[in-house]
Amino acid sequence: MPQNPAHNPIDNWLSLTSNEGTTRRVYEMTPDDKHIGNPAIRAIHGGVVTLFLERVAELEISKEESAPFSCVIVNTNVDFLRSAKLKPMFGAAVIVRRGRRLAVVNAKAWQDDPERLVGQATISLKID
Amino acid sequence: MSKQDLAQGESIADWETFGRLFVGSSHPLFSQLNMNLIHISKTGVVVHATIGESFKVSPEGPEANVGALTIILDSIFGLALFAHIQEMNPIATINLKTEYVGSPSVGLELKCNASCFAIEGKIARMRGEVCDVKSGEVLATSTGAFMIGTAGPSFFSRKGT
Repeated sequence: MPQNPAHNPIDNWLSLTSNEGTTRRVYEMTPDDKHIGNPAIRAIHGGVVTLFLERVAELEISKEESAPFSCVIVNTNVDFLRSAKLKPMFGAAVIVRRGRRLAVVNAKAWQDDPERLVGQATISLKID
Repeated sequence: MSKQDLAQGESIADWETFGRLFVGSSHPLFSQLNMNLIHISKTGVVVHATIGESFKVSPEGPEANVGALTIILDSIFGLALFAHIQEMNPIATINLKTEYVGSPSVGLELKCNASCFAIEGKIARMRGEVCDVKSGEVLATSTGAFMIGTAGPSFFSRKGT
C-alpha cells in the first residue's frame, strides 16, 4: 500500500533534514557507522546513497503537492560519481515531469562542493 | 580466515568463509538486513535476507522502503564480482538500475541472487534479483556496472596496504 512519503521513519535512520534555500530545497543526511559500505575506507554504501536520493525525490514531490497523495518508486537509475565519505551529504531534486499518474525526478547528492557530485539519479514514481 | 588475512589482489582459498564474513553480523550495515550466505561460486551468489524495522515506510504498517532492496543488491553484486574474478581487487559501483516490482515487508524472508554476466577490460556487468522466499514473487531486479581495480583498499585490507 503506497504511503504518504512525507511521513517516513527511514528519515530517522538517514538522519535526514531539509532546508528551504533561496533557489531550491536542500536535504541533508548525517551518516554514521551504520551507513558504511566498505569499512576499509569508511565510505557510505552505494545503496544508502541511492536510498537518500530516492527519499529526496519523494520528499520533493510531496512538498509540491497540495492534496493528500501517496507514491511508489517504479525504478531508479543511479550513477556513482565519487566516493561518499562519512560526513554530511546534501541532496536536491528537480521534478522533470509530473503527470497525473507518473512523475520523473532527477536527484543529486554532494558533500563539500555542490559542483562535485557524489551521485545522481533519475527516479520514476507512480502517484496515487 | 580473518578480515586481516586478506590483501589486495589476493586469491581466496575458502570463498564460503569469505562470503559469510562479507555479509556477516559484524558489518554495521549488513547486520541490519540479516544477510545469510546460501551459496557462492564463480557463477554467482545467493543470499537470504530480512529487512529490519529501521527501514519501515510508516510506524503502523510492515511495508519497507524499497531502497533496502538496492542496498542488498549492490552488496551482493560486489560479493559476486569478487567470487567471479577470484580476487580481492578494489571495486566500485559505477551505475545501478533497479526495477522495483513488488512491495517488500519488514521481516519477510528474501532470496537475493547476483551474478557477473560480462567483463570487458576493467568494467564488469552484474545482474540480480530479490524474491520472496515463500511465494517466489519477484520484488526487484537490477543490473549494474562495476569498475575493477580502483584506487584505494579493498573490502578487507591489511593495515598499511
